[in-house]
Amino acid sequence: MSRLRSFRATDLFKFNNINLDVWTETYSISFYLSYLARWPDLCYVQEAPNGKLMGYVIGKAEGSGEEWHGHVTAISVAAEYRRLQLANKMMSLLEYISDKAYRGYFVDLYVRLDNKIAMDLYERIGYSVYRRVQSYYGSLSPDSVSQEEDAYDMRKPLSRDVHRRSVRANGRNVLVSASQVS
Amino acid sequence: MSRQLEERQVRAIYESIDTGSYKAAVQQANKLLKRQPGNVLYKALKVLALARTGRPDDEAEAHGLLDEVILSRPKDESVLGVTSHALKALNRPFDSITLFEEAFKQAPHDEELGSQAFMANIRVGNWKPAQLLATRMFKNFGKDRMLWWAVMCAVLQSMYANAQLTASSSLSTATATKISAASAAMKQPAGDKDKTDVRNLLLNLALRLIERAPETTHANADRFALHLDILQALERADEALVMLDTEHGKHLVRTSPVVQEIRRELILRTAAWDKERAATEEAMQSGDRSWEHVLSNINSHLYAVVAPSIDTIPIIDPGLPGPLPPWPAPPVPEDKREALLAAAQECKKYFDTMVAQDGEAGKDERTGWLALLELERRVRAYDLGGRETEGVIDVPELLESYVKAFGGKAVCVEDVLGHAELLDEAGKERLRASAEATATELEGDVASITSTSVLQRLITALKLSRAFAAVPRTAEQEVADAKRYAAAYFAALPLGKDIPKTEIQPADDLAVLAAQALVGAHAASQDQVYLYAAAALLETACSASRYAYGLRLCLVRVYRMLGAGKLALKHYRLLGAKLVQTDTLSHFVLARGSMFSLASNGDLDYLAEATEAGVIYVSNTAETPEMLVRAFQWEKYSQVTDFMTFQDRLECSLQRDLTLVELARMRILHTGPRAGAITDAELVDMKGFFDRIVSDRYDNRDLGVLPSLQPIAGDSFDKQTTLGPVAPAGGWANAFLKVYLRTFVNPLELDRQQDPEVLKKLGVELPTHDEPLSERVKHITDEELSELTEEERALVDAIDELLSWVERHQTKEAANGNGNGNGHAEGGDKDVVERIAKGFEDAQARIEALAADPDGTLAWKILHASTLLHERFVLFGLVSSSVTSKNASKKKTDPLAQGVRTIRTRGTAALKAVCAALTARAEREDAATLVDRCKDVLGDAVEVGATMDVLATSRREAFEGLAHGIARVSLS
Repeated sequence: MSRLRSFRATDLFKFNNINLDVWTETYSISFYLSYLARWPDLCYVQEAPNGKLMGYVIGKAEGSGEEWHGHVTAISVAAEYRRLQLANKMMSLLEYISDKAYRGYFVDLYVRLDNKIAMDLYERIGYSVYRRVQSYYGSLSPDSVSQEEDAYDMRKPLSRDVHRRSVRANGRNVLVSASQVS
Repeated sequence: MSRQLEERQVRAIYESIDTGSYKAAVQQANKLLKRQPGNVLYKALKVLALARTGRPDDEAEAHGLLDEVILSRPKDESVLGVTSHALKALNRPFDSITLFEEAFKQAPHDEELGSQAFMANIRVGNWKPAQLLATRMFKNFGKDRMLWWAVMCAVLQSMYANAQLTASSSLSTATATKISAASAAMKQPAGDKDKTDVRNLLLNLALRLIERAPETTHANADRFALHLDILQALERADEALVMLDTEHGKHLVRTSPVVQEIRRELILRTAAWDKERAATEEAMQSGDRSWEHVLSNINSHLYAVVAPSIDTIPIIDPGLPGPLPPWPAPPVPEDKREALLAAAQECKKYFDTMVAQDGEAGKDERTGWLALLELERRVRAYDLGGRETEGVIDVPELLESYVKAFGGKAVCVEDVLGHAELLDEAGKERLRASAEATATELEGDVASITSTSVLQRLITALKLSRAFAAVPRTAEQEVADAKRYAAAYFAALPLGKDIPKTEIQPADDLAVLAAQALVGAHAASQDQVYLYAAAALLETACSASRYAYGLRLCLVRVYRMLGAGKLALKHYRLLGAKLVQTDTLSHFVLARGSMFSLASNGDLDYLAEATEAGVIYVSNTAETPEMLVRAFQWEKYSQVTDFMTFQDRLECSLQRDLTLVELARMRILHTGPRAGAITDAELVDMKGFFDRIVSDRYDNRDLGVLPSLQPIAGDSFDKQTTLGPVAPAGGWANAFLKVYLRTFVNPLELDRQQDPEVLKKLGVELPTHDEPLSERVKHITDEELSELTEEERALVDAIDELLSWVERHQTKEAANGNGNGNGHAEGGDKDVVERIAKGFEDAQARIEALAADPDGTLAWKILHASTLLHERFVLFGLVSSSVTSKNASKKKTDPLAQGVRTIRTRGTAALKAVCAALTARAEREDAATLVDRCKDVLGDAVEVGATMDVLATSRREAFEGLAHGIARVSLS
């Protein structure tokens, strides 16, 4: 039970319960506003009936040719609102708009290798590992034990990807360097 | 000089600037200028380098040289680029307009220059010139986007047509106030007739412009949405709905959230209730359980009987809490009451069915339940001749069932408490008893709980049982509860033993409950032993759940009460709050933070934190206007007013003013009574902030992240742990701004108005006041005083008395021909001097009494009183140094100089005594004693030794540090 609506600039005053999560990075004003200034239809929040923010997603459209796709830059749900299917709904909308409004071939996202919980979620909703990007993250994982900086690039094909080129069976073994990805 | 050599030298200057070697860049530019004094590019480069050195002298030179560059009307791309950067660095956005407009005039076929001139106007909100320019550009270049720029600018002008523009004395604030006024006007229905006419004229102009655009340009969702918005504002919603009913419109409704949102507003204004009901029911039936559908469905039932007038439906404001705020219920004529209740019953039937069907299908779905509660809230808001109190549902029954169904979800408690106002006392008691029964059943064997969902049920039950508990609570009751929660916490902790370190423990809320019950015990008894136990428990829980911000924020609050500012700051920093979060979260450590800063002793942690917290406001000024430009570039018109509101909320943030004041206070305690302790720029900001009326400030501070699990009928955890009568807010900021402005800025400077030409360009008017600023800073209102602690009031009174006394003498001296005093202290002087000096001694006595009672006094009070006394002495030093230097040549018997000496002597003695009291208090700080006092509160479950060690060390260092700091700054 929530309201899935557009992310607005003033939501930056209300997103602490989400951003105080250790996996969720806080960026500069320019970062958020540059997304809103260009892809407002790929940025949403989930809002509780009492007005509290429950989660958000920030996305963009990029690439060219058959690499033209929707990209999930950040997605996070506050701890107290997990297990309510909120992330699924946000991802569904982002995929729908990437498909119908942008006509992208797929949607992709990056996830730290050691963020198992997130990876499970993405796999459940149709994403699979397309490739492993080495040293993608500039800093170590918050879980200092694993010291992991690599990311999996996970993709989900959209209706335009008729040949399902964005799905690879052996994606985990395909290594690329961070400089090779956008 | 060959062209190649010249290019190389110019490149070298660019490189020097890029690498931050500004001094070298200036020298390189000077060298080139020697050969070609009139070269505008060299001048522009020199200006940019000078502007970035950060030295006031260089900045002054840069301004002069920049004027020369602008007057030369450059049109060369390189010169324009460099000059544009220099203008930004020197905060001269209006000259950017001149620069590009002049260049565009000289090259009217250069589309890029036209765009630059347009965007320069956008940056400062110059909508009318921007609209005219965009229209002209559309004629010249024929690009659709230019036409839509003009449309958007006409709409923005229409918003201002209804706004009363005011400005305060600083340029940046004036700009912000302008935006604020427009935002406010945008939300309001049209004002008087003349203004409405102007507004409609501009909106019709926007519509005519759109009609000139080819149909195909509507492909862009934001253009389409803007068109709909204009029609809506002109009360032509029917036409807008026709647009939405086209194939293209339907496509955009499906694929653009912005268009969807406008569609919903339009429905409200066109009263198409039947259609809306069918649409929402279809959507919900297909599985889309958006809260918007629920609200729309309820509206469609109730408004079909009594529709609200259009004027009472506010435009949805993203700043307001809640997606669709409950609007004032329209009056219901007597003959429609029955029909309204019948409609509510009909609506109830729909959601009852939804609940039943979801249940039968085994769906984990809260929608129907929450919809029924919302319906009840709406019905009760009507005046139905008393029948509204009966409502349509049995709220306690529903909530009790709701807890049974959803108690395993963390959100359950929030859902229930969000509807607590629908419960009478009996209803609350029923829920409490029910929750208590569940808790008792589950906690009997917590260790056997193997599912987080069952654990969550226990947590929900305990939270609700506590929330609905009767108040006041005794310390004994609170301690008993704390033991109960702590026992459950430790029993449940193993459930999370295998989760990754980055996850928060499922049992954390039990630790929060226990800690808050202990804080409740302290509130009931004033015995700080419970706070020690709370700190130990929270430390334990934090080490088990490293990223549980709720636990950590509770700990920050408890440590502040206990006077352990360093520990509070350490835990706050572990939260990793940064950038825009500093505006909403830094209050957790910066509220009255100067008492913990120890800047006087050279510990700059708090000072650095306050400085860091101020950076976001500079970023806002630099970054947000650029993002506004981007929104125009990408034609995302839906974002324009949002960005403006965002900028305004940061620009006029209450926390910004509070941070500035705290920073100034820490700074003077660090430097002592030196004139340069507060920079000119900070004083200009203070002056600008002061002229904002309190209601102009936005309180962005986030308290929602601080858990409050106290009984809802009593004080919140926030209130119980706030240092002082209330948290510093607008009144507190004003009181300190007045004291500091009066101390640091001379009256002539205070009353200096902003250049009327600049204000004219801004299109704003100065606010009118009966008194000049130099007089207004002398009066502190009761409302402002009510936010101050006793010690803060004492400081404000003392500095007021001191400054008034000095001013009286200076006025008299001026009248007597620059003053030969009479050589004798007047009776009035003696009284004043006595009062001020005694003020120091009275504060000293209060501090000594506080410090002598470590068990009875919370340590923050000692640090607060001592820091305030020191601040008073430093401010006195600043005032007196100007008096003594002016009167240096006079006889020793000059009453001012004589009085100042007396005050200094007695003030110094008071401070010395305070230092001795602080040192003695530090020596009494002993971890073993603390352990002895609190180890039995929660029993063996919590290891208190380590926490008491760090607590005792932190406090010892705080007391000692403050004593050393006072001695270093003011007694050496």
